[in-house]
Amino acid sequence: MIAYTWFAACFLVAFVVVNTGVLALAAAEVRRYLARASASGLRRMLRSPLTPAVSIIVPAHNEAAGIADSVRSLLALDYRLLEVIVVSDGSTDDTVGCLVRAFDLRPVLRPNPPFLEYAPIRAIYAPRGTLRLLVVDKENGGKADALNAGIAFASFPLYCTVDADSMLEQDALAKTVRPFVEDPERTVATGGMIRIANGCRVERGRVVEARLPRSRLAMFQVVEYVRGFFGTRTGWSAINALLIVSGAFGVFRRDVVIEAGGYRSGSLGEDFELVVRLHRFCRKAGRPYRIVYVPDPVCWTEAPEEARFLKRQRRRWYLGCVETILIHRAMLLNPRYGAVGLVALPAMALFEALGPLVEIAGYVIAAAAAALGAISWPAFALFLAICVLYGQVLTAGALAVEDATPRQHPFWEDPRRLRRYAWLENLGFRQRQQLWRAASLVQFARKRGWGPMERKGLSRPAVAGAGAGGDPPAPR
Amino acid sequence: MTIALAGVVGGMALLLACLSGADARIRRRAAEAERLRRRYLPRAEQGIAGYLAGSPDLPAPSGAAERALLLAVGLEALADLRGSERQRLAGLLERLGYVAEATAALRSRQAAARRRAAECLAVIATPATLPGLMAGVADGDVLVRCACARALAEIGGDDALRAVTATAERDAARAPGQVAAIVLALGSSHPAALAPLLAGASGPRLRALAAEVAGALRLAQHAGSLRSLLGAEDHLAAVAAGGLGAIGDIDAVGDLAALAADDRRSPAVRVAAVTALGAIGDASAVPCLEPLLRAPDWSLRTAAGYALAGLSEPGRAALRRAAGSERKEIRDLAGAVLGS
Repeated sequence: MIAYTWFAACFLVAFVVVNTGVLALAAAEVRRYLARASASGLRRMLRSPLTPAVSIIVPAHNEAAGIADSVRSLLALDYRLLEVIVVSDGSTDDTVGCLVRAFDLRPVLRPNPPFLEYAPIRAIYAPRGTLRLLVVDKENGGKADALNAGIAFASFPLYCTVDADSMLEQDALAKTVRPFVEDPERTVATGGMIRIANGCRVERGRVVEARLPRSRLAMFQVVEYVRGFFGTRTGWSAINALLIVSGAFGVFRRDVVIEAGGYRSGSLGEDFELVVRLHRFCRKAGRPYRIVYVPDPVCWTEAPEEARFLKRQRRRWYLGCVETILIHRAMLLNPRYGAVGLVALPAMALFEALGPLVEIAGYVIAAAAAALGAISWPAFALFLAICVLYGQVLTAGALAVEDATPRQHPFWEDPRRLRRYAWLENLGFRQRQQLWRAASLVQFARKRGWGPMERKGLSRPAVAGAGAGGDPPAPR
Repeated sequence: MTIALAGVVGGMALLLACLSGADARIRRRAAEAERLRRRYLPRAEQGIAGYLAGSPDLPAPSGAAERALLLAVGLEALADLRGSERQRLAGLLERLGYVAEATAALRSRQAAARRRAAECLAVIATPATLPGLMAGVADGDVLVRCACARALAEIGGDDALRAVTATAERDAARAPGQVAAIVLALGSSHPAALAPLLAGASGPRLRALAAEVAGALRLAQHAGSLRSLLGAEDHLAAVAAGGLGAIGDIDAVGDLAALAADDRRSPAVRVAAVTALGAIGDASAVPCLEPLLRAPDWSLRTAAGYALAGLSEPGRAALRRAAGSERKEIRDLAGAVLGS
């Protein structure tokens, strides 16, 4: 009991120090970003013949319902030169047929690029006209495998990953590519903001009116996303220690990703794993590099509104996080990897991978101590108050950073609702998530040991929009 | 222990209150800006549209907010206008005192204010902005210097061009993207000014940028300089090859063919040379490209296939011969290229 109390106190102090530092960095980074970014600069970039062309890769598995609208909206993005590559990953519905009819595609032959490994290609389709669209129909191999196929068939130096059920704002791609234009030699990956589209009015693959969701579960996720993106990613990006570029929306340098080996097939958190590997690869090679989070380009995605889908998604994200930390454990506390090895990855391991176990153990020990009459209730209550209040501090800080960032769709009418949900999440939502994570970790360790993990159909949640790729849990 | 914890709780509560207060202030400020935008934007847009359609003048802005919004709308419009309409609108912004204000703001202590001023002068870019822009290239902030140098590259005379080149050299490593925009502006407005950069008078970064711009703008007058860069290090040679392909320089076919065939060079630079040969489209490159269909490197082989497809009948004949090859990967490649 005493040992745990000391451990929990140290854990909390470390959590507060790291997260407060990251929040302060986030505020400074947004200020710096706003001082540099100019609207005329973006328009100039869009007209410049030096702006790099981008291949947008859309991995799709049974997305017949919305794929044609998604592709139309991607082809119409504000960007100088882009191509869209849809990789149908063993779809058993009419995903490919829908695209063939919507864009008048015909089968074509293409040399099979040998850069990365991916499941066999069934057929490739291209339009009859000049539309820059390619549809790669391949055997099922998972999202990482589909992305590898997309990278292999891409023609341009940069590629952007977008989930088939996600929607990019008109200028999101240009804003996310801007760091590559400003610093073409060093920038290897950039990511933008993911927002939850539940509750928004969507027309032809575009969000035309932004609203907060009605569903409580989706509202909790909005709070998590705001905290995770504005409070955390922006801060880590300031010291080039960003560990996650969402699979739902990220831009990468194709040659560097190919050199680093592409996405790891079978990984549960392929987006997280790739970014950590890029850090490792570039640091090992002594290559100057930057991985940047850009706070204002927005990709809209639909969040799960049913507990069972959320549980499945969070289980996948959490195990992906644990798996990646295990794969790259040699980087932990290794000064060779700079801020990533010394701070960001250890913080991820401690607070995200071990956090659920520490929290659950805390509840169990507190209950046992209460049953034995060995608890100081005032001290316990104050400790709980600190935990909850600090969560609110992080949320309020992230909301302030978010509000300082320009947006096309502000939520001016809803701040109080967001804050209310930030308080409410402490009453069950958070504990339930921690239980899911702890249970999945125990189950995972018991069933598979700590060796390589086999993928078991969790790559795409059964709910539309539950995020084929996603983020590991948003740090709290 | 309990007292210490209570103190921490108090501290947290205070911090939370401060952050919530700061957020509320940010929201209020943003909401106020949005309110003003909604109020004045239609008037500013209609005023500028009317002025461009022939109205003699604009109704004077009523306050600082409307004035700032009018400038924002004017700058946005200027970025998309060319010719006499551009001149007319830039002249209006000058008459309304924005150039004088921005020139004065370049002396501000705040880098953000100087950057805004430099960007404003760079977009207006009338002769009246020259003194401000010339002062701006000596600024301590890299973004201010580069914005001013970019505008000077478009409208400046010989003195200004020397300052532009000096700024580009100075900041090529610190702000490569901004310097690329300067070199692009230079190439668009004064193509001849790229010659010393291509000749290597400046550093290797600027040389590569100048080569990229010469290719992107298809400046045939620099084809000779680009040809001479084919023997340079790989990155520069690849950029030069791409430029020659974009220009369509038939005189470069021999040099490009030699580069494509040189197995001491990296595959990337050879691919660039092969792609350029395909873009130029001269059938005399077929004897060089046909053996490359058997190259061990996939990218080189594939680039050669697609380049041959661009060389009309002799190229397609070479591909048909390759379609009968005993090696499956060559047969598949030729089949795919011929079928595409």
